[in-house]
Amino acid sequence: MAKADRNNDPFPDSTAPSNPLRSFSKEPPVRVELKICDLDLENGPFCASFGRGLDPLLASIRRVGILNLPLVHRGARGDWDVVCGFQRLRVLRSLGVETCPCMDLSPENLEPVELLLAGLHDNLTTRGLNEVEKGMALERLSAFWDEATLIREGMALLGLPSRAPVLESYRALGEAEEALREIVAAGRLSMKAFGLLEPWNSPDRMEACDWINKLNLNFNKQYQFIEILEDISIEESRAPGDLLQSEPFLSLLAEEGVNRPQKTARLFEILRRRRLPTLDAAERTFRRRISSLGLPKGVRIVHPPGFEGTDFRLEVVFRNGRELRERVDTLYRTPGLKTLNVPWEAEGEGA
Amino acid sequence: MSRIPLQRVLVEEGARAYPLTRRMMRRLSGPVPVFEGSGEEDGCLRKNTRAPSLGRGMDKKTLRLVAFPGELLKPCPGTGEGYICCGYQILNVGTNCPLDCSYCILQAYMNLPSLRVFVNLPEALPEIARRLDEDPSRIWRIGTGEFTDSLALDPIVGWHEWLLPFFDGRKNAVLELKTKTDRIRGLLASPHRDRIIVSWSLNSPWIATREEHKAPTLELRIRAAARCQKEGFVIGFHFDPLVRHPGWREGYQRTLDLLDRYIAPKGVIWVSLGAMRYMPGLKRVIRTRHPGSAVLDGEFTPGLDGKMRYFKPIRTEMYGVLRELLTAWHPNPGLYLCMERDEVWEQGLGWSPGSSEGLAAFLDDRVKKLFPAE
Repeated sequence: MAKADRNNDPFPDSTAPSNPLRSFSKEPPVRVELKICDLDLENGPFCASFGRGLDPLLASIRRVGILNLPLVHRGARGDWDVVCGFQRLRVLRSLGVETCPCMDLSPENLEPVELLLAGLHDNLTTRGLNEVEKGMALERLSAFWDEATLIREGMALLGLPSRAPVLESYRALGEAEEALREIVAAGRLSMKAFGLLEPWNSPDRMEACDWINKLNLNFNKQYQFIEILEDISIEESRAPGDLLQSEPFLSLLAEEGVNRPQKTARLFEILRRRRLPTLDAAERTFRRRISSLGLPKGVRIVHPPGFEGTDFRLEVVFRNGRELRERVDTLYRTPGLKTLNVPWEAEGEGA
Repeated sequence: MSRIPLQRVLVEEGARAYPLTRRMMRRLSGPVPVFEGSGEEDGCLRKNTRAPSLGRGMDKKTLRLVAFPGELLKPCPGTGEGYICCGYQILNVGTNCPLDCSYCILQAYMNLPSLRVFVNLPEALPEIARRLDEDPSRIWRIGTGEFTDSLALDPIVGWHEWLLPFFDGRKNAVLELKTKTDRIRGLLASPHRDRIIVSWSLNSPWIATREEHKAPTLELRIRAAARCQKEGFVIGFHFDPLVRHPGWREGYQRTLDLLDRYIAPKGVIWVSLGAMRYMPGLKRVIRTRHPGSAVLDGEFTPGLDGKMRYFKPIRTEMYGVLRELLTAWHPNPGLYLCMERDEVWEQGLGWSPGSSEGLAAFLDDRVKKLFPAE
């Protein structure tokens, strides 16, 4: 098969003139039967697999067999490179299968970047890529594309925002510890959180990851946890890992009879108290003052967030007008209500 | 302050024809290479895209000469949401500046790289004059120091040549040139003084040294202010941002000692105070570009306008301390707060203008006092 002539393409796509996949000819690739043991399934130039267990695919292949044949290409020295289908071939190998039919792209005379894109497109439309695999794909593409094309085309292809800082994060992920990459690949650590951890020293970020893992923090909590820990670490000139290895953090994880959500709540309480001691003390003073008022049942007073505004909020829960009237009457007679004030002023000053 | 470290000048499309461009080119002729266009064509610069990557690519070594297509005179956006604003007008003469203060809002606020000078300013002045004349009863307090330093590029641009004569003699406007530099040669060479306020941004020596990168020392700034005052300029000062750092009281006291040594307080039109505040997006920029910065230390909570501010009693205390220091220097230094709430004014300064209109009236009175009508 000759490489398709782009100029004679009967279906020109003016919106994607540089799409390398358009260079495929209209005839299907050639099918070849290859010995699996002859193929490099770990380090091939097109390999984009990381952190994937074989079990789901194994179960699928056992049940219905190979549905899509792997794509291969004959290298310059005559050996075969797998372009796409590493996982399928690994499963077959684990099942003791010796040969596998594959689709040979060699007659297409595709450039290496086109082969790489063929593999990527194949994966993107079937299983998708995890974050580490996206980083690997960008790394591979960077061998063929300049930075601007990588940001514009490559990141869009992978569904990522076309922004330089995002690319930097994915590059940094490629350099990160194996254990950390596994957590990211498994979707247990967000890329946003990884972006915060990236400049940290290895022991510090691994310690933080350990906490995130153990408490199973969601993406929002991960980000907050790392950000507050970073703030405290900078302000106290102590490494984050060192902080987490000291009291009161140390005993928190070991505490028995406390479930994970409770430990998470306690962790954030500790962090907040350490980061915002004056605000925390003000909030506690406010709670104490409110509690000492003896407000009627179903009545709550809420302070403005961070005490930044001046308006407090009164909440009354009631079932009917009679109950409302009773609660308002009781509230009206509550002694000390007039002295309610912001906590840093003495009670009664602002009444 | 050392020479402006420019690596290249880009004359953007449409800017070539302006006289200010030609004047600047004459001043710049020498070692700085000059290109025409946006700089993307020949790859000499990274793409002129929006949103520099976490402020890292601010590209402060490139000066772009630009014909700004929009309005150059605009009201200060202020902040709203119950914070009292002063009713300032911004004359947008350029964006970004060669200094590199860690806390600079422009790192997150400006989404275009490079230093930019708007070369069509002289041509825009007649229209600005028309607007000022349309409202003769109003006092227009106008400043060029919001999106750039008013004087940092003056030796190259020569803003003083256009702006000082423009404001001289206007009865309903003043121009404030806000700076952290000591680049006052152009001002001093000008015969115009009327309706011009030269003001300096000050801080504690600790902050000036650690956080205001590439800016002259406090003493140099204050000596420049003293020189301007001696040469007949009305001067002002801005303690913004006030940063709570170890020894902050003593630090600000030392700055006041310097002021006391060099400046006659009677000729000071106003002194503003503004505690450190930032848009949430600025935090990561600061952490990335200035890893050793201390300006994010302390207790910040979200303000009603979404900006992070020191917890209210903390900033109230800081304002109280500065008020004490400043009123010990002079009983009426024209002290005001930038973007603060009524109750913070009351608690920090002991009085409040009550509203943005009240603050504008207070500052207008200062203008009338320091620039009396003949």
